[in-house]
Amino acid sequence: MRRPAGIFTRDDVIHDVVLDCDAIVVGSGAGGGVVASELAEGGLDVIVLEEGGYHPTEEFAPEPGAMTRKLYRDGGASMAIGTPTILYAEGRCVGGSTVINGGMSWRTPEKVLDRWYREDHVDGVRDGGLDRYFERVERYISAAHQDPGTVGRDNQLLRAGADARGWKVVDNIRDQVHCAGTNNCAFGCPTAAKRSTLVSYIPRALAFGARVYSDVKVERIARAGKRIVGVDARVVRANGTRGPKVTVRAPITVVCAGAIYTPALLMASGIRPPSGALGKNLTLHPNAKVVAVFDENVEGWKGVHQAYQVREFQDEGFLMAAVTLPPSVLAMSLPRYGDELHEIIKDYNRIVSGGILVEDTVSGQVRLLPGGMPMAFYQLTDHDAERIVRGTALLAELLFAAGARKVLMPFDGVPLLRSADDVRRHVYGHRIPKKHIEVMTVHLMGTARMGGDPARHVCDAHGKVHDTEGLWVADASLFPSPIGVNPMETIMALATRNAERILDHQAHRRAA
Amino acid sequence: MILADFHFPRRLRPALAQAARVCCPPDLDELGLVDQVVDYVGLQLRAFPSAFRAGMVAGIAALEAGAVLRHGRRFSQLPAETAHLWWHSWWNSPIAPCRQLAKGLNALIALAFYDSKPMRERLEYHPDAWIADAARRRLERWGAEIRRHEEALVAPDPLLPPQRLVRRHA
Repeated sequence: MRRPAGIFTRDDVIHDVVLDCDAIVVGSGAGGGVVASELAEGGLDVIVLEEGGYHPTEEFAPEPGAMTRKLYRDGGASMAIGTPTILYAEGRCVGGSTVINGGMSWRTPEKVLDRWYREDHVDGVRDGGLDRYFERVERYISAAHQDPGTVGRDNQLLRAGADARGWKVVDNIRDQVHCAGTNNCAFGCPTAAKRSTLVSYIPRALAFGARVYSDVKVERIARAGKRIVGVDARVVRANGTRGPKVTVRAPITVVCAGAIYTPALLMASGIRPPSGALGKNLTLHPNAKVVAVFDENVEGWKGVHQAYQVREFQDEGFLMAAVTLPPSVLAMSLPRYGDELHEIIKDYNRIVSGGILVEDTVSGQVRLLPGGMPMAFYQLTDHDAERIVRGTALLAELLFAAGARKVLMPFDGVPLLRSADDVRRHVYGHRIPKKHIEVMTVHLMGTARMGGDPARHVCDAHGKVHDTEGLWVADASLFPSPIGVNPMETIMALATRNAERILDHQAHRRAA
Repeated sequence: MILADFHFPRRLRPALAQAARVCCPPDLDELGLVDQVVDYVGLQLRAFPSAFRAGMVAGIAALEAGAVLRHGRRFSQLPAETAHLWWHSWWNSPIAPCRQLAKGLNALIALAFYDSKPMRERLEYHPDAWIADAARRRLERWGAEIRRHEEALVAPDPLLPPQRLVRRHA
């Protein structure tokens, strides 16, 4: 496979190298891809350092095991420690998590931006302050509704159930150019219709002269006092061991490594913003899944991933969607084994798998373990656990209203439900221990939160790390609070805004 | 892709095979998938963080050896019914690491088993053909528009104010 000019892999760096540039971008996902493109277009010489590999669209296939090994951090086995333990997924490849997400492109809810302004003094974000950044992002990722004819039966049934209950449903806006509904989003879009940064912002960055070094892990941010002078990185060999040194020197470093690895890198580099909040405030939109078996053939894999969202309960802090997964991934996520599991999976083509996303009210933290490995710690609160139970119970009712014959809840010990009455009998009014709830997530946020008060916030309102010179953050770590919707577009808009501020700084410096 | 230089310990393969028999329906033996599932789990473990991988291996060793205390034989040597009982005691264990090992291992085995070609066939899951067909239809119908989008993507932004440019490109 021919690589585009400007993309380098471990095969290209066989000896220690020292590189110079104007700006280093750590990470190439929703934050890093955007920042790299904006800074390069603004005229800066940009180097992107991405820990994961470069995998073009042609490599993407509906093979979950192979794709998780290739595209996911830790082969998809990352987890936040607590009760329950929460599995989370992050992309580790050029394009980051945008390669493996569902592509939902929602603007930040106005009430969230208003809260960020009032409580965290994030200037310029409310009353439409972010609109021009959203518009710019939406242009490059082609955020749009699905074409007619690409919505699968799984989503039609979700909609039918919501309509039967009289609940509000919205058509999803996704980053896609005429998505054909191949439903392989979580393992890389095989048609490049989904506009991950791999096929949108990274090519744009390359077109403006940026260089992307994949298979390179940044180990330390180099400092001279409070001034950041670059990063010290290593090539990651195919077996995970440390390869040649990659030393990059630049007056600007933008860290976009996600809400776990961004604070971890700052901590490992001895950067201690005065707030003491680095690594704290971890929020993660807990997800739980409900599996419904219908009499009719559904074949949910024939159609777009998540065409709709049920927004009826958004004010209560949760959303619902239909999320079809390959049988192997569905099976591994269910609280069953053996014949009991097979009893569900054997009807794979008649299954609608739905999920809820909860806007959490608690925060965990990221700590560095001895040896430098970051670990997330997160305790689900009783309140959030109750909302997961209520949300999944309502989703089960919706699926019964759509004609489901049986529903499996994400709770260990709760029997297979066969009617809406069973939901009331076995779920409502029962206290379900937290350790019996199967929770996972793909939205990690908040561990380098932005705001106007250096005593409370890690970064200022434009992502500049307090009490440092030349160090910025542009990813979901910045969020002062969870946002209750899919975070990709918010990350991208903030990254665009931060890049604009960096360019302004540079312009002033050069003018002076 | 990063895969550690790790080989699943040969001495624990029988335990993993036994766990696969407990966690999968009879199709596992019927289709002769035991070795494939064990190999797949070993491969997947190579992508995991080393601490996690070490925990899994230690857990499987404990699952294997612990059965001697309760049932007088290693887990891999137990008859099917007793093996199920032993596994069930781990699945519902009040000790979190035991419970998590059972759940984590079950997840890996389920991934391996249902990702196998014969099981995908049995479930009538044929995404490759669907993807190829959908991709072809997409290009036939929208090819010109997609090309225009790709061209615009790498073109300078005509709306970008000149003062945004710190240094003009050559």
